[in-house]
Amino acid sequence: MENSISVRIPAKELREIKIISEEEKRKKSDILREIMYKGIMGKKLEIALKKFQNNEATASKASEIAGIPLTSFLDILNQKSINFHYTLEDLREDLED
Amino acid sequence: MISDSSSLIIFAKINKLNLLTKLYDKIQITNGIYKEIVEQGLFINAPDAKLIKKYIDDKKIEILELDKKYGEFSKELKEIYPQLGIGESDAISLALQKGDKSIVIDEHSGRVIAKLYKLKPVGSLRVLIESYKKNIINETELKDTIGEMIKNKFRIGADVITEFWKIFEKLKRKRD
Repeated sequence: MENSISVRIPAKELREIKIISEEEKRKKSDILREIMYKGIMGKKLEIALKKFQNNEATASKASEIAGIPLTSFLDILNQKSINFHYTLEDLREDLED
Repeated sequence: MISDSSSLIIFAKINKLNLLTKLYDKIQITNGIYKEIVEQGLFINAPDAKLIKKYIDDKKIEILELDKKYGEFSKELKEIYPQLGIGESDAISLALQKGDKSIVIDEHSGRVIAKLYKLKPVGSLRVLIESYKKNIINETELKDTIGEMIKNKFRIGADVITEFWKIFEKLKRKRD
């Protein structure tokens, strides 16, 4: 389902959208929709990474929040050099006996 | 042996799923975990998803169904502990349904909840040490595998790695 809403766009952004639209030979409304989708995905990932880093979400949960496959989320953690939550206490528990 | 999603993907990413299946014979997951690691992974053509799928086709990883009671339990776990994903809640629920004592799980917050339900968490590094103790891999392979794992798949603190090798050296001296 699609809905229409009107939004005031600052002149600077509108100019950028016009340039992209001419460059890609696509309608400005299509460019806007694509940018909005990418923005939403980016924002969801940002929230997911923050929750992961704050120990409020495991990688499995964070990938759900980001709306991407777990394997991709694990790759992103790696690209961003973010450590897993695996503590010294976890290690000792793992290696006892 | 039941495994949660992240640990299984990490072993698949370093192409060492065989260690899990040699050590524990069969690995078990739920349908929910299958969707998370295979279906969603295949959607983006992830090599780890293809490898896990192959292990399922070869019957080395089996998919078990959560019954109604434990299916509900898994959903409840995710509600009570919002930090958990389906990977952890399903693995914990399947272990309780089967009456297993332990599950493969690395992440601290998942391990904490597993322990609340009297399950023993088994991390990737324990899997590797056990593989070494049972002569499935030698010292060089252990070092290479851990190197590969922490280099770009499973980043953990330098303090943890230092401590790991300290414990390993002690273990080695005991064996000699």
